[in-house]
Amino acid sequence: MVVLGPFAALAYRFGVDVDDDGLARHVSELLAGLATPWIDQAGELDTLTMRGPDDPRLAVNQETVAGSDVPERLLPALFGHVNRRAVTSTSNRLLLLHAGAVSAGPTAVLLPAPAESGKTTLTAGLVRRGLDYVTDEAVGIDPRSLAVVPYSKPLSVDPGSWDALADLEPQVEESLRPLHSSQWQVSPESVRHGSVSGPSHPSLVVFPLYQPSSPTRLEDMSRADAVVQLAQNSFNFHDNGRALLPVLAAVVAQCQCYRLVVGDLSSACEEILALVDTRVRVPA
Amino acid sequence: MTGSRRRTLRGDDVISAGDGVESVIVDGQAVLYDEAAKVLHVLDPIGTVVWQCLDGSGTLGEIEADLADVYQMPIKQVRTDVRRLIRQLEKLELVDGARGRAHPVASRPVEHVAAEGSPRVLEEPPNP
Repeated sequence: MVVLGPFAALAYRFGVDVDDDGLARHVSELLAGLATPWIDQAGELDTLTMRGPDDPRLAVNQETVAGSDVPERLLPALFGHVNRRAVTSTSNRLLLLHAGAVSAGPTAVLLPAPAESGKTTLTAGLVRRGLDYVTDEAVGIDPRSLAVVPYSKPLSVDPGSWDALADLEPQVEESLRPLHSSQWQVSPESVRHGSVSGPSHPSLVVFPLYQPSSPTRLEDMSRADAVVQLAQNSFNFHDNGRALLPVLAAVVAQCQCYRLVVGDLSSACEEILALVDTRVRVPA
Repeated sequence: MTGSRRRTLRGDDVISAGDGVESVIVDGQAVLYDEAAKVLHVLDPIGTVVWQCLDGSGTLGEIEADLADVYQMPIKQVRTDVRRLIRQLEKLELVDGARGRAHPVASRPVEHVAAEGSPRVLEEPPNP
């Protein structure tokens, strides 16, 4: 048994025990962005146990996760569990947005959007072009400092994006290939070496909307509308709206806000890179 | 929430934000959060100015007179626009109303310059 960790997914802390050396090496690479050197002594540390790939199974504190016993569901089950616990364990501490995010130095770009709307694809495209990776799923923002709390999970690439991101297909040994047959799990390091973001603060908010039949188009958005859209793309706003509304207002107050109709990945990335370039060059 | 929803608005009514309504002003626009309905609303700049006056410190008539004075607009037009907005806010249960003079508390000055056009409320659907 190979023991991996500890890891931190926002406030969720866990270790992973793996019974297969090849799988352990692969999971270790995927989770490298979540490695944490310390454990809060007062906090709990879940133990996730993985078997596979011949007899796949994921268990959390010895309780088997339903549906994890087929190869193509093993890694999605792992990262689905980590995502859910990252959100639930943090929801009373941070503003949590359903968003991808990238950064250029201290400047973070938030990409809030519902599921299946191309967050991961756009995030990956931007990281490939030189921006740093914050997350492709959940942005945690500290209500007091407004700093983005990194959540550098592996990028979860659905089949609909495999053509656009073909170079990111996981290069794994033959026995592990079935684990990626329904969704690619891609380490940020595989997208670009050294791409995991350092500390950052939101400076741009871009709401992507994938419309493959339309030309890519960037539209200004009022900050008031951005507050509403951010709330609607939040995991925890409605649990504590009165406290989080001023936080949303403070976030957008320091940001330029846009809608981005995404016709294709390349032009969408160019639009955002141009915004970042402008933003980075303008002194705060 | 408001007992005055179906009555005619009068100049001595005192209207204030509903108990369960949180608001922030962002770039001159009020964003209102109705905690019970879990719905957000955005007011346009004129609506925002009116909203900021609904702090329970003045009667509707006093607010209308102040706005007419500040913006140099006919009181009749201001009254029509303000009461239209108040009725919309009442319908959305975002304000509470009471009849009679307000208690003497410090009122906030009107600081924003209103844009042209009638007050309007943009309703956003709740997050599913």
